[in-house]
Amino acid sequence: MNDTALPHDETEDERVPMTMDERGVWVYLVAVVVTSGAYLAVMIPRTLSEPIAEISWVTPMLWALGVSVFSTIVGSIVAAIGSAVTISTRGDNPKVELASDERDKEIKRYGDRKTYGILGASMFVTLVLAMIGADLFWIANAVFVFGTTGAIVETIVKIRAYRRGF
Amino acid sequence: MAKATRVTNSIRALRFAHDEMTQADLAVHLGLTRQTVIAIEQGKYSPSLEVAFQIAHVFDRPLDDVFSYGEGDAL
Repeated sequence: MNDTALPHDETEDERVPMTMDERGVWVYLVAVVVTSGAYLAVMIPRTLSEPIAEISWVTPMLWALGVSVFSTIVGSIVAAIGSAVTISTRGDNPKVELASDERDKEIKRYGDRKTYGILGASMFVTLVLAMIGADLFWIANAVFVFGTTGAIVETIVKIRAYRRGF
Repeated sequence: MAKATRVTNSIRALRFAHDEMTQADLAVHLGLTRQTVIAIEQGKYSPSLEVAFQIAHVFDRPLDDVFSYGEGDAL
């Protein structure tokens, strides 16, 4: 059938709201970039100016991880409430606009698959650092950097899949 | 923009042929989100075989009338 000859419903292809899962991915991306960026902004100058053994890295890392998890949860809840209000104002069906379905699950699996390589590299580097007796600072921060990189790659892959298909 | 799949479909045309069914109505029939229906229509997402059959069932057509795979391409 020739789609170009069809009547066009103006409401059909208008910019649709993101599903709940896609919003969650965006919130996670922002949380990871902001918290990891803040952590690195604090730690890199210290690493360059202080002896490694004297750097206090545990508390800043715990803060970065904690704030990342907390802000992702709170951000997802706020985004969900905002979407629900917008959709109910427009009179749309929340289940049809926001719920998760098979595409969300496939995109999640697709994003997870794309980060296996980074996870493997993280394990390899961590093992090598442990074998050569590197300071705990380097081991922990290698895991942190690989974890952050993996999270950013995962979320970008998922957002690309949502926007452009996969 | 290049399509993510070589599977093409006639869902948009079939919707209009069925009392101008909206994407939201079709999404309700299928238990999917409207975003997924849009992605399928635009060729950005290939649905599972089960959903493909459900779509064909909604329009009361055989699967081949709804979906086709890269015309002229060797399998």
